Amino acid sequence: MSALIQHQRMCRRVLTARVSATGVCDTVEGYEPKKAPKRGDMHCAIVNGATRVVPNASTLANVAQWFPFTLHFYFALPIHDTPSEDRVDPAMTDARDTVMQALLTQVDAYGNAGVELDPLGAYGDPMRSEPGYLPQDDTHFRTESLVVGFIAFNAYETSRQ
Amino acid sequence: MTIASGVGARAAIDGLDLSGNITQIQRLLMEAGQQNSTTLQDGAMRRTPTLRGGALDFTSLFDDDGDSGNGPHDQLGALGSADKVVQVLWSATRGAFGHALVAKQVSYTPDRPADGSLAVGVTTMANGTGVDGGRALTAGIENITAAANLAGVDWGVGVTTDFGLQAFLNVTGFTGTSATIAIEDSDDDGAGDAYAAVTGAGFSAVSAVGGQRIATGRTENVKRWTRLAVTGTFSSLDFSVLLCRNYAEVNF
Repeated sequence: MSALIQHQRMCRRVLTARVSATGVCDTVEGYEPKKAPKRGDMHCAIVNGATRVVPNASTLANVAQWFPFTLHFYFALPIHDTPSEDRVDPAMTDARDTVMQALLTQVDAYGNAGVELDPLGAYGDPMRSEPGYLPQDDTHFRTESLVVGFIAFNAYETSRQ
Repeated sequence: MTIASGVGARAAIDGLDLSGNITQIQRLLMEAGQQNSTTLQDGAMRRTPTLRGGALDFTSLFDDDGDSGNGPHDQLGALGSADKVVQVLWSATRGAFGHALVAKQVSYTPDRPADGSLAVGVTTMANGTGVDGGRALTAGIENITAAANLAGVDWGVGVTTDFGLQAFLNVTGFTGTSATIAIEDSDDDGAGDAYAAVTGAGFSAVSAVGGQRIATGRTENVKRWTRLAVTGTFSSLDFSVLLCRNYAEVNF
């Protein structure tokens, strides 16, 4: 197993734990939900994003890799006796804001030395968030996708034959 | 002719393995000074060689080695005035080409731009002997766990020279009592001509990380094949040796 795979797995575990610890999400999963989240719940799915090699962080002997995770927040739009629709976007914003603050106060300590959060996009894309809507079955969800990138210095060692 | 990139290189400075730290080598300068000796009767510039010189400038990731006190930041950040043995191997294979110099470190410049990255610029200037080019007798920065004769390096059919050599050693890790590293040569990789020590091509015994430069006599014969003979009592030795064979008379 390459160093990068170990880094990615550890980052995912730590990321999932930190998002869960904020308490803003009722469920946090490492995959897109197969069943619609319960109405009234804030759900977060953490999924992989496209990785890339980073030349200016790679060294003579190693390749550095930038790898993102996308945190998809889902909240079913209210009907009938659920909170009014006016509160949905503030709730999404609060959830995203709380998670971002939690991640930004711990940019390192993702399990392995040489791996850390890259919030400013020094080696890839800066943290960003995209709101949206998702119609699924008979429910409309308000969504927000927060992309957080990580840099793994020395992800792979290079050598010649 | 085989064209190669710079991927897979290795580097060490005074016992510090920087292969996983250096992101760019901006300048590895092998320099031959020239004096303007043009006279009135010349129709073009005339120059006379003067002194050798050189430099190595590179950019590195910031590394405090977990606050050990011995990492690249601690050692390079201290600057200091002592000579440092600087070595770059263009790959980690035995026989790979490389360059080395004994240098004074001139600067240590951390740079943190707006994107949050952190890189350190380091500049060095050759002191006393300029920049030398040669071939690695180790496989990059190699680890061995006991005394051994390493595999030989073939310098090519018909290559035997009578102008001595210079060699650069970097020990980046050591556990044990001491190790003595010497260069041996042979006409045929020991098949008919047994390897024997090259006079003046033995490093001082090592018992800790550090760097050394040695030079043989200026008329010492060096045969086609060269190898390292490592003796001593140790359980782990991480080291690299660059052998710079002289193909013509040199005076440094």
